Amino acid sequence: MALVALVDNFSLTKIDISYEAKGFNHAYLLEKKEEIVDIAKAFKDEGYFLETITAFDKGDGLRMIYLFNVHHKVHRTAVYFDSPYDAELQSITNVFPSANWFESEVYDMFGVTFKGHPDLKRLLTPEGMKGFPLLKSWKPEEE
Amino acid sequence: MDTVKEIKKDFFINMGPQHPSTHGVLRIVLNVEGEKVLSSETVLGYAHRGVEKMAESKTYIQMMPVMDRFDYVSSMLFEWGYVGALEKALGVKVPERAEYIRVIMGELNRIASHLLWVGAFLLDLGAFTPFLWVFDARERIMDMFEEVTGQRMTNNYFRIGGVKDDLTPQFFKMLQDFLKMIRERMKDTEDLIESIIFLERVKDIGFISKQDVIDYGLTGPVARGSGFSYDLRKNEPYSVYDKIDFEIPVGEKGDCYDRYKVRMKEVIQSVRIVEQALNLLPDGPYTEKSPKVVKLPEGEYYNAVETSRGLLGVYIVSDGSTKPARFKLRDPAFSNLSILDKLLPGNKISDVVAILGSIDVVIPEIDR
Amino acid sequence: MVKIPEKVEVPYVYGIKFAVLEDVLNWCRKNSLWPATFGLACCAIEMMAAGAARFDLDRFGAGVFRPSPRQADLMIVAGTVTKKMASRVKTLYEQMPAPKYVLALGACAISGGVFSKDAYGVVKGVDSFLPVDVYVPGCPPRPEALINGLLRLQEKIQKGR
Repeated sequence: MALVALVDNFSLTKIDISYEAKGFNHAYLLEKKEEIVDIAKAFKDEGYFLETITAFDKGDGLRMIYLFNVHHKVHRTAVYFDSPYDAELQSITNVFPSANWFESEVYDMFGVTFKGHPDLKRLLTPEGMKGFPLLKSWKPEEE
Repeated sequence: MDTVKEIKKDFFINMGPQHPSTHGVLRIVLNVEGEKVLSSETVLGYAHRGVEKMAESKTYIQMMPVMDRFDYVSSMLFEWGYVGALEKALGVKVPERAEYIRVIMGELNRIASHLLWVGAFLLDLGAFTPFLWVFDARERIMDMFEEVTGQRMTNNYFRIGGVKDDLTPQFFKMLQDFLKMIRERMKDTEDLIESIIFLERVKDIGFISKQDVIDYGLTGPVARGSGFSYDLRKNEPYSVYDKIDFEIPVGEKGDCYDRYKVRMKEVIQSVRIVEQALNLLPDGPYTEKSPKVVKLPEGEYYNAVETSRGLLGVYIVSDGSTKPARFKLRDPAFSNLSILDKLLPGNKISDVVAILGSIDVVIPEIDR
Repeated sequence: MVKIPEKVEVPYVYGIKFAVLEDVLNWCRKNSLWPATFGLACCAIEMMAAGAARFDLDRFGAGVFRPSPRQADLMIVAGTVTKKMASRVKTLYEQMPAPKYVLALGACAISGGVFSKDAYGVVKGVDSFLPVDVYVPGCPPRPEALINGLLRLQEKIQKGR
């Protein structure tokens, strides 16, 4: 599936960004978040690799960012979608093995779980950590 | 014989977090049968400091010195990624002299990082003398950094719109001396290292195929060792790298030896870049007047640079205030290390050190 | 004329010195400090530099970096001690045979350094759970500073703590 057909086949809206300001070459907003697995497959078929998966807290929910990149041209593409807190998302570890740690990290920091992830665990934070530190509502424990 | 077969069982070896060749505080749980590794699990987080949370309560300028403390062996390249993101956001134009100074310092930092890696890698494999040789060359780079930036390692030299100080006459003298000796030193070091013992230990182990590079998102010398000619300095030229002529060394098979060789060749390429940048270095201001209080316009910013370990992405979400709403590093070694659990099974315990060493990890950068 | 005595009496034999046994033991200890190879962050690189060609820690008898804490006398805490690592650092310290000494290298090990505020994963100072003998400030300290710290430690050992 060629990448040009991405917008036709999935519930994607192209976000207008200029390269200089944002740093991404293309960005799409995804409406139905379960389609991310198929989108990842489409990117992989084109030879893209997964640069990172991350998220940020908007205050009323999370925004997930999947960043794909390719070796042979300047074509860094971001796929965004909105997710509520404590959501269960589809894991893309079957498509990109590198997503294993990225998804674990997102779980560790934001508390989003991933369905189909082989070994979802708290990747970085110390043992006995309470809460998810990168949420805006999180406050460190008093020592 | 039968009794031996009966008692033969697999068991676990805990490597790290304190282990001389895990380069810091990485922990690998190895499931082994005799000498053979059956499976492994990499445990991260022993250097997790929580910097991404900390960044949300620090101003943009306060975060600059912290950038040095992720990947402390190529600290200026990390500063470059961060400062570049801020410059993109603010629309600051960097004077040409500053760009060339950045290239010179950045490449020297890359040389220092690779030299340190060679020393540590050989130390892991049990050779002590190369460590002394490369550290001698590295100390000269540290002297140059100290001359210009005032610090040996955590330099805090890059500023929004330029660099902190101009290069000094003494620096040029030291750099000329360094450039005179480094090629020969690298050749000597290679001659010293590449004995039959070393070759036996690094050749034909830890294969990374081209498909693995895509699957695991590998970048930097690890990807280049497998034959991917992917280097941001060439593929997405930033700064003044498009005006400089250099090659990207690539490996063929993708084993530990190729990754070692790629790094050794990269040192020579970096030397070439420094020589050209020195010739092209124009006169003019070394920094733009930068604002005292930095406030990024609302939005998201991403800047990618090539560090000595691969693609570094700095991702900043701004809500228009003086502090970032989200600060995230896409660090190269995090992705590069994620392939380790795939590489280790089937190898001997002694090869674990060679494979891990050839990936070149710096733990605080991975754990953040 | 000065009268030269025919025979000079030597009051003591050269090469033999009398001292308190404790002092002799301390003198031996201070000159063979074996540090544990134990790097946590940036300071570990400066520790390596201190052991390498130019600075040559071996001059002070402290260049024998031991991979195992059971063979070491000195723990150089080089870098940020995180909460996940703190219990392991303590275990390592307990594994070392007495007499043992701790040197806190760098701002992070002393107080948390740049991470002392707002970084939730960092232990603010290794002295909160280990007895530290010498503090070496710097971020990271220069190799000379580490050598100076070692000399201070040697003085301390000679005086019997």
